[in-house]
Amino acid sequence: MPEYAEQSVTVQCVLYNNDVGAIERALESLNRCAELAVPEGAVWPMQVAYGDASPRPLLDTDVLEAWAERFPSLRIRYEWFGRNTGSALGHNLIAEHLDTDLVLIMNPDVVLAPRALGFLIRSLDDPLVGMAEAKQLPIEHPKDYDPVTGETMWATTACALIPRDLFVELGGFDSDTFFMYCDDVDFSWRVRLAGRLVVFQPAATVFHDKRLGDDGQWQPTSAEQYYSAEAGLLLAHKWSRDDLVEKIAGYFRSSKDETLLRAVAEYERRRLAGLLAPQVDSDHVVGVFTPTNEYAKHRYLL
Amino acid sequence: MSGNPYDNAYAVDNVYGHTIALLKEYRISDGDGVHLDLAAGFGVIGEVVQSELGRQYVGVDLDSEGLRSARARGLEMHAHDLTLPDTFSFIEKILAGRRVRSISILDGLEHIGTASGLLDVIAQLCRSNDAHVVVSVPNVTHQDVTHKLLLGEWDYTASGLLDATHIEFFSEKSLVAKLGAAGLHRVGMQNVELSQSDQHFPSTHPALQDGTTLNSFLRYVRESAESNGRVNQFVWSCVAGPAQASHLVDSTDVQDDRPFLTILTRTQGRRIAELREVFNCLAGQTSDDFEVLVLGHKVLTAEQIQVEQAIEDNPRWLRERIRYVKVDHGGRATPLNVGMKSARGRYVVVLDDDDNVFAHWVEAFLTSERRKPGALLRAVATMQSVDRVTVRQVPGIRAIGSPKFPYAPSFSFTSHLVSNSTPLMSIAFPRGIFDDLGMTFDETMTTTEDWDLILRSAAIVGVEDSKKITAIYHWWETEESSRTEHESREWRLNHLAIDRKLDALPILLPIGEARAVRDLVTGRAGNGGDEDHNSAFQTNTHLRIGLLRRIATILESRSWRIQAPMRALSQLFGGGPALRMSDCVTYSTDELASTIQKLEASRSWRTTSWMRRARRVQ
Repeated sequence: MPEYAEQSVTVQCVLYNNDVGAIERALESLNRCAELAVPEGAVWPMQVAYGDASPRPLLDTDVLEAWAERFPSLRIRYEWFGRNTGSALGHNLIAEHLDTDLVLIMNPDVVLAPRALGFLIRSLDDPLVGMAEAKQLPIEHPKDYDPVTGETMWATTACALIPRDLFVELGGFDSDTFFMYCDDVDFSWRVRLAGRLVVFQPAATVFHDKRLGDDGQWQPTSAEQYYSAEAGLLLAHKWSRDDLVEKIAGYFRSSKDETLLRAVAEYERRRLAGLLAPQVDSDHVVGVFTPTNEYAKHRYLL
Repeated sequence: MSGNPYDNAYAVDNVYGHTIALLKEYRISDGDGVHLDLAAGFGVIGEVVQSELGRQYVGVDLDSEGLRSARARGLEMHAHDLTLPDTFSFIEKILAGRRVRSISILDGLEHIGTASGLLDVIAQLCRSNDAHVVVSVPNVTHQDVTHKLLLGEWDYTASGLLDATHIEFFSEKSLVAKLGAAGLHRVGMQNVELSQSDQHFPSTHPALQDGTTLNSFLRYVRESAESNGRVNQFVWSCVAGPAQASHLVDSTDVQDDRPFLTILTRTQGRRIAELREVFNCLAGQTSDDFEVLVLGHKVLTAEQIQVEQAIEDNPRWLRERIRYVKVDHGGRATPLNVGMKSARGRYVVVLDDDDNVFAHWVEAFLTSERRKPGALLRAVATMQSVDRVTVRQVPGIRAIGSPKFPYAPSFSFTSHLVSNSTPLMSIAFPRGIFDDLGMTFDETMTTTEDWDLILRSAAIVGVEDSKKITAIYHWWETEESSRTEHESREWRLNHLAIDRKLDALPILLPIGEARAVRDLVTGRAGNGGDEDHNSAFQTNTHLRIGLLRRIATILESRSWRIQAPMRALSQLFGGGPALRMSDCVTYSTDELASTIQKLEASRSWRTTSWMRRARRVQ
């Protein structure tokens, strides 16, 4: 058994009207994960920090005390924001108190496999690696990665481990630009722009309750459609792809789809108000926009 | 014969002959002694006991006619009411110190009843004399009785299976329980079988006449569930041992203690990363009303340690629901049957160690159970190609294709007669088909054992569809799986075995299936109608796609392409034109199947089989 340097971990989750039972299920697995990650170098106990962006607090003192007793390997912190921060700002606010070596950005309802955290920590043993992503079950994200090094274009923050120093150095997520989509793409690309690698570790699995409709298709909500459309425009702008912005905006305008029209209108509002992010990666070294509007080559269609 | 209904003659093939055979076979001790015949009636076996066993016959009964007849033949007979509490002391008195070597009570218990304590007396005599006892009782579960009872008929007669004077009735299970409660345990058995009992009337009854579909269906279900349909009398040899708990069946339903679902996970211990993914999927279930039996099939010790470690790693609530069961024998179906026996759930589902399920997998089955309790519960699986990778020295699994939807969204029995559109993890079996109908996975089948059981059980209990997509069947592109482990010839042989089995059975079609059959016969399938009733057409389409895919796999394989020059040469010498994929698109299903057979039988394919074996891909 190799000796690992001790590293403290904070798990960060932004809550928004989540099912408390699902959070509890995730905590059960996180607790076990924390127990098993100790030999891999994780400091016991592990911190779990919730930032609640719900209109009313999801958790009360009774629940938190019960969880503290039930999950001894976790030290749980909870803060109600009193406003809907979105995921990017929510994570940044939680991270203001970040005092551990590593931060695991995670959806509050994902269920970690017992060894997942250990595998992610080991991926960060390589000092070149700045972000290590877990594999989601039962449907894996289709973006391509190197089958030996795990190197990939970007990492979803459904479950991704980041060294605290790097997170701070990069200023966390770009919450001025992104509300709840593409904040992870943008962050991943900034990790790579800083000369670090983003890797995908398929052995580190997390279960994410995503379902297919009876017709076999994903069924995004209208909010998901809106924010991903808006984020697509903002991401293309920020990563110096004005050609794409023009193309996407043109498509949105001609679609007559209410959601897409709202997204392009919001983009225009920001542009006219001078609220767009400063552009980066002018040589297009890092940012990837595929012909099918993905941010990495995909292995298959989903 | 006296005309008395109980004055029956001795014959080697009736209860008396079978009793003598058992008395000869199970001699606990030899030497002089007594054979004690309780409820002896006319002492029919007396002479044979004395002549063939060399034992002194002592009969006890209350019926004066029987006593007179036996005494007149020189047999020692005593009059006593065996229901009286002084029976043991009465017997000790008439024995007067003689040792009892064997006892019989033939067709007497049903008249006396077990509540009398007579079985306790018999057990005590067996124990104190080192003797054994032959017990016979009529079988109230004879198929003539049960088939009529099912249709509301119950006919008492002057003697026989439903003798009007019987005060207690016996099935095999109840007799075992009642003997066991007295401390008597079966060591031998020579039941009397009669295809047509004294209850085989009226002879024109459709449930009794063996030429009717109703009769053959009832017999098929019964014979699968329990083997005593033709037993007229149970004739058992028993010895004394420890008494079992009360013979009364607890009518309180034990369902309350059962989890909803037992998940059977077969593993050979070679796919630990995959097994860990299965556990991860189970940890994310929205319903925790399940238990898991990990069936380690022929797992080596080192691999078993890894499996047990994977189990131990789980969070406590899940770990406490998992049991490891070692199975060191048999083929693919054996661990499933072993698992069925240990399963506690109301339903049982198989989730092998290399497939994944969605969060509502258990919940969807549970919802279906509420709609149609007792039926097979079916959801929908998608299929996705996967491969193994080792990233940063850690083995993992990688999806390499889009989820596909080859399985019909709803179940059609008719379509399933042609092909299986239901992967095992997408169908839950009610425990009753194992417990009460005696069904098992057919262990003689090396593949398709799932399809076989689905058809047999669906024909009895029906299927409730959820239509929700709740599972992912992993299609291993480069690793061995049941698909690649078993040659296609073997698959076809098993398909034929299923066909043969079904052709020999009466089939009960569920409501609505007649329309699917009609549509198939008239060729209307797929030309309109609602989705449910087009499922036969859909499955046929899926079957065509599967066959086309198989042809494409062969034609595109490296091993086929490498033989192209040889085939071109053969075509020059009149071997026929080369097969093109575009030709196949217009083929019928039968033509596609035939084409596959020809391709697989071709010299090109056979001579390159080593390449496929070496690469484990086709």
